[in-house]
Amino acid sequence: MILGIDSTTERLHLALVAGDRAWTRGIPVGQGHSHSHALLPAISELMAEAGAGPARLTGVAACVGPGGFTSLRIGVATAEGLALTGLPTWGFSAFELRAKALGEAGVPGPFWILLDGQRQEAFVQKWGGAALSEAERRPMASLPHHLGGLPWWAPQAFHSRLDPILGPCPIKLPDEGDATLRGLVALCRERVGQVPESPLVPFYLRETDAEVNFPAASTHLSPALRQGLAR
Amino acid sequence: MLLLGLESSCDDCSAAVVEETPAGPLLRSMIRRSQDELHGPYGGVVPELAARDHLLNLGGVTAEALAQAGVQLKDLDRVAVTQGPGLVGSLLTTFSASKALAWRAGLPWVGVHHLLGHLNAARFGAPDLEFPALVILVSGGHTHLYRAESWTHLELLQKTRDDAAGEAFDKTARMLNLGYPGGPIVDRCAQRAETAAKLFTPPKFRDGKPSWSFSGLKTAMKLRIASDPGLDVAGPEDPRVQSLCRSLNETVASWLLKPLPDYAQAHRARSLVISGGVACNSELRSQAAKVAKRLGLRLAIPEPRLCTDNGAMIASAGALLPLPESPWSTNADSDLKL
Repeated sequence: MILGIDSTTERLHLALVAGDRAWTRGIPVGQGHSHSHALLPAISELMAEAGAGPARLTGVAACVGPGGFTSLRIGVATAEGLALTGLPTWGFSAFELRAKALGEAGVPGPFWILLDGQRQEAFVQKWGGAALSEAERRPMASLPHHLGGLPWWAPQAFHSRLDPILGPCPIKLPDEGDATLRGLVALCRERVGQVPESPLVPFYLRETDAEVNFPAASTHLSPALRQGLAR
Repeated sequence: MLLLGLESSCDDCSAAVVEETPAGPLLRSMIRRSQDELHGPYGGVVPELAARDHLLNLGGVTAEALAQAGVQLKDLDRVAVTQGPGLVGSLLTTFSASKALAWRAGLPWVGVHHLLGHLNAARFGAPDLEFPALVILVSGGHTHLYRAESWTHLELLQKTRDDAAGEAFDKTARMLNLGYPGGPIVDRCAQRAETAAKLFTPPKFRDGKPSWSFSGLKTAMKLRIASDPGLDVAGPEDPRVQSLCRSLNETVASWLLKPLPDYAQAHRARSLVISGGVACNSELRSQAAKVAKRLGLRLAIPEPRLCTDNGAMIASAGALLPLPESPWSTNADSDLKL
């Protein structure tokens, strides 16, 4: 039984997958560290719904970002805690989760996925069946040129700020939450056959302010501590 | 009772296995990964970097502590973790992982107040300590004096109005270009001094309320260094630098211990505990021994590796605390109250 965790946004996504069966849950939790309050009870309830206890888990797949720094760490740290009990872990990016959700909803690629990068920036990556470009951080104003006329999708919560720059989102997902959960289930199924990763390294796609403000003092930082491990 | 204790409230990622026995806690293993090299170039802790680094290390640190103790999860009776206060991003790494680990392994879990952890670091060397005790918890983040009725009780008597005492050491080391973290560097320098430079004048408070203040000390130190051209780059071998460090050592130790006689009498204290990173300071340890003897107090200062933040003290405190009713929904709290 594989547990899927996405704590990178203000809506917590969880999936439990056993063969052909799946149980899912989407929980609005708001910003910051309220994920810490909600996550484990929700996992526990989901397992009860599946009629299983913690001992039945056989692996954990967790979203490593990009997203809220603190909230994504809560999900990854939870996966790391479960790893200490002997479970294999796998990581996937927030782009891959969204691409999988669009794929499950029958949206044909290629398309851009735009995620809220905060500070007037967007995190962008081009996807078809797989990633077709590096994930990047782009100023919002540069998006019309950068997207080159290809269709794009962004989470609903990001639409109001993209609208003045790009117009309405050309790809519609009638139920974004449900599509994301179906994407998460598909990702869990895919990961089972793959080599586990340990430890899970986040993908922040944004360096710390210390690195921006004190570049000369930051030469010693490893890539994992700068923007994280790119996917 | 066998416990796993985890701590990551600031810039140390630590895990320890502790066995609670009728004779007190026994340290079975302790791993501590310091982030001094990570934060050194910035002259202080960068919270976001601290959190990022903790997350990468917590699995390895915990597995190493278990392996060193020769213990498997199934042998444990309880998992304890720092719940707060501290840097929220740092706290949440081991906090989230510990809950998940305990949940899957079917282990009781308890969140521990960081300062109760520092108090319980003293339990390793003095499990039979008599209460009430006066407790000075002093580090780069805290300078607090408490009265303790037991190992799980702390009642605030006085604290700093501004900076923690540990900051005076960090700032001095930075102004003298000696390196980071300042506490151990200044102490080593001070121990090589033949004499102390003139001591710093203690602050006076208009409201007369008992408290400490260390921000003025940082300013006074800055002026003292500026008044001696070349001192800031003279380095640790220079006798003037050494005697200035000794002056800081003696000043901080005497200020910290000054209020003890009055409190000892008023509260009929039987013991004195000093813990936290600054409790490693050699001058503070030696002055405290004299003061405790004069006041008839039993002195308990943990060995230095248990004074700085560590998982062992969290396990030691966690062994004595009641288990929470709803452990899995418990949240970390950067401003956790006692």
